[in-house]
Amino acid sequence: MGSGYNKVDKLFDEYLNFVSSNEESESFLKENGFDPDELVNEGIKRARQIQMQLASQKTEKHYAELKASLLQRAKEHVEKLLSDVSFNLENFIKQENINMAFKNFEEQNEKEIRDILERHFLLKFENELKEKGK
Amino acid sequence: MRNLYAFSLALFNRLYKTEVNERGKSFKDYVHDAIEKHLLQEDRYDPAKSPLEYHLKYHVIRRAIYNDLPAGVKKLHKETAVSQLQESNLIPERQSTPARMTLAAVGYDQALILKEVEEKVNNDAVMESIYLAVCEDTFDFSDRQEICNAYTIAPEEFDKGIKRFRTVLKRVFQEFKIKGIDG
Repeated sequence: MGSGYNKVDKLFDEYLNFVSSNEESESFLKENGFDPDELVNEGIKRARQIQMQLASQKTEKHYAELKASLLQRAKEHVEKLLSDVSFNLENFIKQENINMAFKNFEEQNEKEIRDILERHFLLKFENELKEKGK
Repeated sequence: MRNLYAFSLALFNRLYKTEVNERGKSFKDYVHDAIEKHLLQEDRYDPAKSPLEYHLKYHVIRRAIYNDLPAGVKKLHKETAVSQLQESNLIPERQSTPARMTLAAVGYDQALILKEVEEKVNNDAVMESIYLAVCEDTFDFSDRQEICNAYTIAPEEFDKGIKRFRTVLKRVFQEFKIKGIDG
């Protein structure tokens, strides 16, 4: 059995190489009742599905990274703004034409004000980017 | 891609009696899985080591088909490989052809296959030489020049002879029915 293993294994490898070669594979598939073109189309379809899935994942990742980078920029911008002693929120809201659901700014704490401003700048930067892309 | 399907079909049909194995996979699924693995870069392909087609056939498809064989068959394969090592005191497998599975483990009668091949190459001097070079000597089918030198065969005769030899192999392996796995 020992030597038989090696010999038959070698022969089987050669058989596999032969039937799956450029010259033989088409007739081999046909002989076994398969349409080679149909199989290849199925394979290509599968490959395209995976490529589309990969492209979509890449795009999602790109946008997530872009959004994270814009949010960071917005946070830095707000930080700079709030650390300026001359900064006046009411004037700023009027100047930037920020639409507020409530007008009593004095009742809001710093975190709330910060969140409003960060959202405002995030939207602003996103719009700037869209304009540039047009 | 056509070659991958042919490879997968040839291997699958020699190992399973059914069109779908116990994992619910057909030969086509192994090709699709290989394509997916490659596109997702999960197959660790290194172009410097081997051509893509060879890599997908032997490193991805064959490995996956063998990995999905029932545990009992894999155990038998291990035992056969170990006993062969002890008998021959040689490394049984080439590093370049991974995931090799002894056909004995899936119920092939090795001696009968050899007998069939021997009978079919008899009376053809070139085929006989190729058979001796590969099965009795240490040559591989790819050692064209070495076999020609060692067995005094003209290269063009070797090319014709190996074509006939491959046709013989195809006939023999196509005709052989396996005894072992139901899927």
